[in-house]
Amino acid sequence: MARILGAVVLITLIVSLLSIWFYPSMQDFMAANATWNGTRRFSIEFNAKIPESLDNLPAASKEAGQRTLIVIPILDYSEEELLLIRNFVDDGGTLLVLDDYGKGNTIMSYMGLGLRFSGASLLDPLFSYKNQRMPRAVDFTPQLKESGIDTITLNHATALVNVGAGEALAWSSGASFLDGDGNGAFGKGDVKGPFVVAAEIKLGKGNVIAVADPSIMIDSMVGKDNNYEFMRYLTRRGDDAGTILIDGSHLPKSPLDIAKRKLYLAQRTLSNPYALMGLLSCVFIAVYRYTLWGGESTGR
Amino acid sequence: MASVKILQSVSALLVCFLILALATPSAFAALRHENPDDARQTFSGPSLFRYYSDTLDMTLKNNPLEVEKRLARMPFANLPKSLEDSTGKFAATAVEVSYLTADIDRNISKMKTLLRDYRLAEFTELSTMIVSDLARADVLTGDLNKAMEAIGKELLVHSATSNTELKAAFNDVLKKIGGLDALIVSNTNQVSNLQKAFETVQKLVLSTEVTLRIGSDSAFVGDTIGFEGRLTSEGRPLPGREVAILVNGSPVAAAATGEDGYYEGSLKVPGIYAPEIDIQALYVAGDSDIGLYVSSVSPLVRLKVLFYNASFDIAVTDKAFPGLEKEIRGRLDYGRYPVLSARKIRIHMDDIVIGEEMVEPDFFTRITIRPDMSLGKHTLTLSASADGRYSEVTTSAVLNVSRAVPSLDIDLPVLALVPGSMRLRGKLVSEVGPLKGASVNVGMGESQVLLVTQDDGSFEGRIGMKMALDLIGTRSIGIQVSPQEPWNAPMSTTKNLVMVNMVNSGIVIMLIIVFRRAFLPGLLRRTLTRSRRRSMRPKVAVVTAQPLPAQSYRSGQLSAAGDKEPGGSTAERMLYFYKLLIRLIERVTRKFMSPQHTLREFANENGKVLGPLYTYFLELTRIVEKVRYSRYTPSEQDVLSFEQLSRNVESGLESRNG
Repeated sequence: MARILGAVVLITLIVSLLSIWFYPSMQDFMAANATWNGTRRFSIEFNAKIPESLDNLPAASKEAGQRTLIVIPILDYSEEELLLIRNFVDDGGTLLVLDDYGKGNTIMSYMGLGLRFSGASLLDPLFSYKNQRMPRAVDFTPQLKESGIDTITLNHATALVNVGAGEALAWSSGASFLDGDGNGAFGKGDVKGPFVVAAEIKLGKGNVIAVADPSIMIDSMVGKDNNYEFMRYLTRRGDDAGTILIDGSHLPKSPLDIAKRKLYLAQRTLSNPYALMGLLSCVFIAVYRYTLWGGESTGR
Repeated sequence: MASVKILQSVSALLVCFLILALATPSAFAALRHENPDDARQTFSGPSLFRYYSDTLDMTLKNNPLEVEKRLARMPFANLPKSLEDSTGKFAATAVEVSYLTADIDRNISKMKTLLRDYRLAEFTELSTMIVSDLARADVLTGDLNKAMEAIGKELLVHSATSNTELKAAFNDVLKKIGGLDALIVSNTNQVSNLQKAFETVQKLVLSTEVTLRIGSDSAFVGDTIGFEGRLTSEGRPLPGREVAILVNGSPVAAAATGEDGYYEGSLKVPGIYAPEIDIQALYVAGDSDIGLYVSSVSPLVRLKVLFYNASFDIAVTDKAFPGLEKEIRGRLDYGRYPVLSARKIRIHMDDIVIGEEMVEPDFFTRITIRPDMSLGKHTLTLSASADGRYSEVTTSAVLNVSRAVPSLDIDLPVLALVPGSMRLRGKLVSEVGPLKGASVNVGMGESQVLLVTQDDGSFEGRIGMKMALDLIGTRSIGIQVSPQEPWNAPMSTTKNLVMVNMVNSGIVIMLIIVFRRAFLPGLLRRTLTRSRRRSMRPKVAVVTAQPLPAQSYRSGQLSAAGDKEPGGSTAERMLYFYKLLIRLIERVTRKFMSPQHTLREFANENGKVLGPLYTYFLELTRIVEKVRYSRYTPSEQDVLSFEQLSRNVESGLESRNG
């Protein structure tokens, strides 16, 4: 009976581990998520790395070329993390903050910038993809226009406010409005567009770019209109050898993602040659003893 | 049975796990976005009409550029396909009408000025043009109305109740078009009033006539030519009046009329490097002449302008690198014209002036490409500005600003041993030259080393090779190059080399030895035992009775057990032989008789194994049952027969077991 129970536990454990390893994540913005709301395609096509900690951001002295850190601040940043980001920008890196209803203003405030994410829904019933919650930005700076960008499509976005002169990169149309009362229709309390949806500010040796919608980089959106070219312009600026990092540590994770991460860490730990050698030895001894015991029992 | 239960348990756990995994996202998902492929398609008529209404406001404010900009975005609007034609017509018409109304407004102001200056001939000409524009604008507003009707029909505006947002927005656009109509009517009235005023003025004032002659039909730029003419009113000279000389509509000189109305003077041919220029004399009635004389302009006189042309050629390779100088060779070829010894040139990069210098006809110069210049194509323009009789000449070339890709020449050993270290030696060169002071980051698994190149681009160092899981095989070495110079691009490459992990190989060899010595013999033994047991299964179905061997199994068993043949009653002796037979069958079949078994059950269970011997054994069982469970007492003869039968069964079993 004990042997049957052991076999069930072992098989369940193996099946669970395999399922965790191979079952795709369904969580928003996850690079492991190959469905519509993941960033797998973006990560692959932009050759982006996804650090799970901000402790080891590349410094200017070690890596040449443009270094872009993409953050989607859904979760809170600690003071230490904000300092690391600040140092990254001061050192010449580009910080790309993609936010709609998250914690982007915490970062802006820490950086000492006046720019803020409005937090109200940006709706455009006319210049949109399918419906007003997917507004299109239709006005760009000459540099972006020269890069072949005519329109980008956002998805449940907000707008940027307190944007300084010469900082704006893209604007929504004149038909857009900020849905202050949240009723989904233009009313007395709502402010009419155009609004800035992307802006860039020089800071230290680097710069901070704010985009009022993180969904622009999910797999189902990155191919819409000129979204791909827009993201390429923001992250590459013609430098294909640059490094792109997506901060994975401030994205909410489902239990499956946590399990995947832990499994990955365990796999990394075990991939240490000595640890693996020890594990293999244990397995070998266990199998050897079991087989020997089984052989003796049948021989009795 | 047990395996079925295991399978069921595992299946149940798997299903639970999958349900959990599928259910998880919905529990954590926030409304940050929606799947664009599944998003609901909606159109907003009111927003379209509001946008049109705001655009027409821009028309009414005489801002045609903004109107054009707003309507140029319409291809990105979320509208039904069926509206494409009518919205397209609306956009084209609205843009045209906005430019036209702006022109009309500007020309009406000009008409007022002309009338004020009594420039009646020009007034008449402009008036004709404005009337035509007003007629066209009227037609266009009609087209706007038609386009709106078509859009309204498509969006079912007319079937909507009067207080709906759609109807209100639609009516607002129609109202704005009405405003445009009113503006055209207002402008028409203004033009009409001005024309009436013109007629009044024409009746009150005397006409004037001014003539013009120039001293030459052609002249070089910068040369001075003489001019003369006469100002009269209905044949009488107008002395003491100022006559302006216009070149291409702009005043460049002036002269006063004498007693006989004649005027004369000279003018310098302006720096207009065109084949011809138009010269006119203009009299504007001013001061005391206002209300007495009409302004007049002379017929147009054409002057052929002469100037020197030069061709400008530059030789520059299209490739440029940030931070490096770029050589430009140029030549100003004057052909048959006199050659200028030095001339100022301006150098532009994408419309930004980056240099200015005096150059000879054949020149060589250098420009520095900014280190932070964006990569890609840029336009380099050189212009030699106009200088006296020499017209301006420009030339341009496309520069492709890019970074040089380093080429890595690295010496790697054919074979590397782990643990240990490996010598790295190589050279980095790009098309610009060797990479000086470049960082070369070499990584192999967990091992990394940072090297710096010398002035000749060479680098040398060692990388320690840490333990890994490999035994023997190829291992990748990642090499990242970060140049110091802005003109060299970073580089990342991977090389493979054969690696032998001595520690792991040793462990594997040891394990193989242990396996061979300890595990393999046991495995072989068990395998052999299993195959022997399989061979003992009742494959042989026919066993013929054999004569009793000299050394019977029974006697062997008796001696081994230390038992002796009982010398009791016939029944006891018979049971003794039967008991021996059962022990033998138990050993052969490995099926042991439990206390719950009856003799018959034991016999039946072993029937298949015994094969043909089963019949004899069953007969013996029946005799034993008879002896044990009845009053029957067997005779000596019965015992002998019983013994003989049991020996036959024994010998049959022994012969089968070899």
